[in-house]
Amino acid sequence: MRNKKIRLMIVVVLTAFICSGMILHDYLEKRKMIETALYWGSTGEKVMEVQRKLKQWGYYDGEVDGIYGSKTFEAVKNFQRKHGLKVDGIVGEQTAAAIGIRLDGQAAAYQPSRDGGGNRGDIYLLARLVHGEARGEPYIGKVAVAAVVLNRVKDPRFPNTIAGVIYQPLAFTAVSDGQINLTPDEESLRAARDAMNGWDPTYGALYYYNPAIATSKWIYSRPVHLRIGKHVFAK
Amino acid sequence: MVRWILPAILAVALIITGIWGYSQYRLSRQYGVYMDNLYQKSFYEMVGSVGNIETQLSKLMISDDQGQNIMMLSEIWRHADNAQTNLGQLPLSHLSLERIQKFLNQLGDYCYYLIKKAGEGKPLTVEEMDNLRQLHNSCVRLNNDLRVLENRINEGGVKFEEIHLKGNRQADEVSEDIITRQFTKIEQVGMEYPRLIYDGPFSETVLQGKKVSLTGKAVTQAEANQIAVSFVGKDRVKEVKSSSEGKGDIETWGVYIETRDQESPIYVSVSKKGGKVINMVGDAGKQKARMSIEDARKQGQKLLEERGFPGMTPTYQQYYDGIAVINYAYEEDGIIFYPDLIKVKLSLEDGRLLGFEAMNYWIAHKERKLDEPKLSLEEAEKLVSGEMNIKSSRLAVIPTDSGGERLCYEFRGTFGNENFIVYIDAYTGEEADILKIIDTENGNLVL
Repeated sequence: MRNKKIRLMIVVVLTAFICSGMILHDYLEKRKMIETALYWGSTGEKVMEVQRKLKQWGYYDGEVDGIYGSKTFEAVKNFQRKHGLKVDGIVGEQTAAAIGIRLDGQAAAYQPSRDGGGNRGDIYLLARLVHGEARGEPYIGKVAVAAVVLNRVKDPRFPNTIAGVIYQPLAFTAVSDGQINLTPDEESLRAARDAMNGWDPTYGALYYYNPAIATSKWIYSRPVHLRIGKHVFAK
Repeated sequence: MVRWILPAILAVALIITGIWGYSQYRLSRQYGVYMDNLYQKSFYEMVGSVGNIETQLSKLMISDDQGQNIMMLSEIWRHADNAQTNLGQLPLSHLSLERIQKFLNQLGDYCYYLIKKAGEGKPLTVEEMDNLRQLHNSCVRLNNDLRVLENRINEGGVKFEEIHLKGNRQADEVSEDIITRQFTKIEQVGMEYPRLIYDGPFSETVLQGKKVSLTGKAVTQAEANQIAVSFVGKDRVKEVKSSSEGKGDIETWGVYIETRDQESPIYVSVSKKGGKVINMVGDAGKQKARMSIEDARKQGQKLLEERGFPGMTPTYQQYYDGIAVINYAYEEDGIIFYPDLIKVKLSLEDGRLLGFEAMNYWIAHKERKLDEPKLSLEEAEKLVSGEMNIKSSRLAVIPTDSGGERLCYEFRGTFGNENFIVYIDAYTGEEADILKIIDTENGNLVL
């Protein structure tokens, strides 16, 4: 008789124990979800992020002060309405994801660029052109030729990339006769660099020609900016 | 008679054929060059565009502004389109290009979709940011592979007909990588060249359409020569001659100077009005790098002070062949004025001045009266994306695309191991600009 009672008690106690354990666990889970969610009364960094994002996108016009007050509440509801989310004014997982904020958890890995993209290719291409067009000219003449290419890139009448300007049909003789494919010497490389770095002795010239061999009458009508070596630079 | 007419006719026919054959050969060579040029252009355009895509994608990671987002997404979209067009013109087999094409196409479409969303006021969701991150990683890989290919072309001077055979293998390696990218549901795609920021940020915008307004009396060529001599340094000068006058946005006297310390001559431009030195161009050949970059920056400052440019502080630099090119901006009251830009080229061997460029400075430098910023530093800092780790901050005046100026808080920081600078307008709190800095072994590049 006593054994049975004891066993029954044990079963009841165990069951109660398990049940309360489950209830407790459930409660703690809910609390965790609520804890990470943001709602009226929350404060902190995450609230600031929410406010900032909503402000930048025009849903919120209050202070970015990290305090979730009525204005923030309204803004969040507005946002949820627009996005088809449950309109409860609470920033839970779904709302946060839509705003673009992580309440917790890791972002995907980010791979930085190795070489910095950069422009080494452009400098080399420019140097090849300089070498083809201005071999034998004084250094400043080489810089000037490179500067003309860059001026053209900036000008709306010409192609918008360095490659585009250099390879524009009929623009440079060094391109049509293949001289551009010779390996540029070091001086040409340095001249290309100077031009890329902003040195423009021609003050914006777009054309240059050798008066000894130029045939087009039109080119002579362009205002002359500078004369260097064999070349005249004009706009 | 008949006996020598026939061989004569044949001989003439042979000569004519020979001439015709030779001219055909020349023509075909011309065409060969022309075709090769087209391929080269397409290749460089494509490589340029992919590079731009990569930069814009990385900036997108830390931008938080609707306007900026739309701008960057549009840039990516356009560049993806451009890269695709050019890729399609290369003489590589369709199969090996197919996957790169797909990547670019889907990237473009995805960005188009995101632009529409942004236009409706919807910010990037967490999932979309993750996707962009993945796309950025793929882009980095593609970019690196393209650089390798580009170097090979540059070094070997290989013609595209040959690339046709080698390139196929390379391209296959690249596209295999991209297959493993997962693209989530992706919906359904003209060019402003990104600012030429090879020479440091903000150096192009100032010049557009601005006139240099110099004060002072007019100087003669002879006076200009003297000014140039003292600029270069009296004890360095061996010989001075007048050189070509310059016209354009500004009228200058040209001065040609030979120095004792280098073979190559130096050209100095001095403005006709006011006798100001506008620029100095010269090449000293390779130098031995004996100074540290830190010392070079100080040396540049000293050279500038000696020549009447006090208060200039170094911002960005590049070094190669034992030469340093350093950008200096005017600083006053703790605010740095980027439009007032001077570039100094000096030798890392003996610290002497090799080159000088001050056009921007002469255009932009003036007495400025700035209103107090409406935002405090703390308020502005809150407006910077939480993704970025801010390391330092200060006030800065930056030039705008339309030729004006803007007072901003400059925040330098990192994101994913890369360095970025974010500018927040000190009055409106808008994100004015985002720059990415890349530290290479040759100095910093700003994109």
